[in-house]
Amino acid sequence: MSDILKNQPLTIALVGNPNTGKSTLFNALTGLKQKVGNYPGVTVERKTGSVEIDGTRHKIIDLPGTYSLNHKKVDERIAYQTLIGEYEYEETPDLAVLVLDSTNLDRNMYLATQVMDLEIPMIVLLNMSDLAEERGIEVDTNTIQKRLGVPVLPIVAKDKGDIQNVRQAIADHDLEAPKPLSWKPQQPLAEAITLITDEWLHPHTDLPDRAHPIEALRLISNNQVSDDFKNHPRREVAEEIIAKAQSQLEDAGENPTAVEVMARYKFIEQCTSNGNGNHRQEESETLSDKIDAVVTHKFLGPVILVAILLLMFQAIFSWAEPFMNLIDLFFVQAGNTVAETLPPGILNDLLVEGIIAGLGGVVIFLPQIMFLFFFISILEGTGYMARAAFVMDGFMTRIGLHGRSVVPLMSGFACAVPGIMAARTIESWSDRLITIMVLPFMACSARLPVYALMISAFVPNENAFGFISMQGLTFFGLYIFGIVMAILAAWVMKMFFTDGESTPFMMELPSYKMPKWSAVFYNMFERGWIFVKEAGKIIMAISIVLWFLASYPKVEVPDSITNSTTTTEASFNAQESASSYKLKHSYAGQIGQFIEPVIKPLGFDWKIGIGLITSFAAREVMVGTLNTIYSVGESGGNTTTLKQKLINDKDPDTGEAVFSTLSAISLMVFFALAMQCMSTLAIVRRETNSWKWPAIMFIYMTALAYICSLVVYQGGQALGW
Amino acid sequence: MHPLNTTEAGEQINIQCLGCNCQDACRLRELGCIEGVKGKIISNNSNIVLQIGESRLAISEELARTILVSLK
Repeated sequence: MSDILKNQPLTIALVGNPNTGKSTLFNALTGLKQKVGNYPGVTVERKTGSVEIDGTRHKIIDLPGTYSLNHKKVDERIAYQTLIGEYEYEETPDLAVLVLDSTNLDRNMYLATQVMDLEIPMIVLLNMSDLAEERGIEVDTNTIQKRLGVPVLPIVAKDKGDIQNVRQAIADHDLEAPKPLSWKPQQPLAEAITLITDEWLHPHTDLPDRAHPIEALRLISNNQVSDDFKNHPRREVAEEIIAKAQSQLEDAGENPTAVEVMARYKFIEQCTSNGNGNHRQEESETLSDKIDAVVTHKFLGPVILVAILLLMFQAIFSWAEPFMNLIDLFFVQAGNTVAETLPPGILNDLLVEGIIAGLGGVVIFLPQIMFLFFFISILEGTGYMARAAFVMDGFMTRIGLHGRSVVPLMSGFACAVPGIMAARTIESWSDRLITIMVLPFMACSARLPVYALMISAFVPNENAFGFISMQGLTFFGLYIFGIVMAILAAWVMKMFFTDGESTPFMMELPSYKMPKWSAVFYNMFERGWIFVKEAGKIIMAISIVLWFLASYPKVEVPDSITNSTTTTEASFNAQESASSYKLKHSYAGQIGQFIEPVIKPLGFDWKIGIGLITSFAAREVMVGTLNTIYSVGESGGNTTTLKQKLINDKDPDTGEAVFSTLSAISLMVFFALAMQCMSTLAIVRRETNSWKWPAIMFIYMTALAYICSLVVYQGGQALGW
Repeated sequence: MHPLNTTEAGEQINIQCLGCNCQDACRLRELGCIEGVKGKIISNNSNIVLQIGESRLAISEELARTILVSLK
């Protein structure tokens, strides 16, 4: 690095294809000094961090993984605009660090040639050089370095020594941009680029000069004016010039949509001619070929996928249980301790009944969420997730979705929010919209608390057919129910969205590898933390509001309830009746009773009514709410589990149990279908850029939930259940 | 020349012509599926898994029908 720039803090962009180990490198360079968030207005994850080299702290941006800068998707656009310094939410990088997969250099170099066109100083890292060596792929670093004219480093992103070399390369870099268009387009392509640059881009757009060649190429190969210029006042000028450039190319015997890609690959071939070329095709069948022949098989593929999912969910529930019991114990103990230590009063009530009870109800489901992301990370890390999408494509297309919808839908089992974010990989707007609109039917982890509570309390722990537990079967049934409803909804929606723009399935299947365990655990803890942080904020606020609503106004309990007893047991019952009386007359009770006539036909009472209202903020709040409602007015010493309280809950007027198995099932059906998640609605608003879709989603899902619960409860009663 | 969807697993092919629309052809080419390039069919269960160089591409039957290849 030149002396003037030696101690300047730099902004460094990491660029590369998906699955090249870019994130591993990012983590290795930044350690814990990183921030994960979203780019404003879009659902592309933004990862930034910093690295200290020789006493200077540089900023690192981990740009979204992309195959090309010919931006068709929003993440590609962000990468492109950041690199040309035109993205308003990101600083212009001083240096691009390209991470290429050594085992698939030709394809990875394509992006490298595009970044070079942008005249940004760069370092090229040939990652996974150990794997390339293992597979007998020769990579001639010197030739590549000579051809590209920028520093090229073979690395293994996991290796500490290699990371040190990367740091050194950043420190030593002279920040001189590579020569523009180092792959030098030949005539007539060069002429076409000049034409578009001189007659359209230069006079009519604000793009920086260094972006002109790549923009010109994009206009030529896409055969149309890009979205960026759709509303440009001189749009027809652009169309005319593009048509002119294209006819020039056609006259010269070139295919305008192919000429750029061909020219780039020709250049790449010269760079890697000693490298991997086509060597592989001569080999006999590899292990990877054999695995793919099985897991992408027409019949075996889906069977294997379902088996993997079943195993995964079974493991999640059984592994998570001991951790959940521990957390439960901790919060009960904490509640008791605080209740006994602090003097009785508002603060004591707020802490025990509002904050600790509400928070405990959230944290307890952390183990399940973390195990789920543990498995999802493994499926992604091994490369199987892409196969799952591929295997399901035929089926998904038939029901109006896309093979790529499988990954977002599967992520929806954890949480609809990341699932909806993952839907951005679906290029066609209609496929993407339908995927988003039906995704909240997938049984997300926030429903688990409600399912778990209701099932453990009201579904008998017996075996069906001698070997499957009824409780497990109910769980499984609820998952299938969600999937079936998603399929039906997608099928119906497809009838309304026949815009004919659905894109055919094509995707890269990453090579199989062992998952990186550090990445798996990192992801697991990161997602767990995000869940606690995001859900925790809402739930804490709601718990406090709820505690207030359930505790105020303070009413005098009539003497007929408190003083009519002599025996100990009767006194206990009286105490219960008194708290019930207080709750019924609180603000919360008043709201619950107000909506009770509407939900009564579903088998719900006013307490569930309160829960339904609060759980529109987030489904898991339901359990926290019930916890709060049922612990109000209780002395700290006799904290029993919520499950027991639900079973014991009796209608004070009739003396009958409030909950039956039927009303519990009705409630679970309601939860399976209703749109009860503010975060999901917010993310749909951002993703679709309009309130129309979240509004439609909210109305159709909630209406469907009401109707189905009504059918279940009324039908069940008519059958005498 | 045959459409890609009529090939069988294990066959070595040569991509001849991408007959799909501009956007899809452009995407395929960026992923390395270019006219003149050699490839190998890994599996064909209506949807195709195609090996090109070190890239393994999954292509739907619908798209495969528009890709013309010659057998080696």
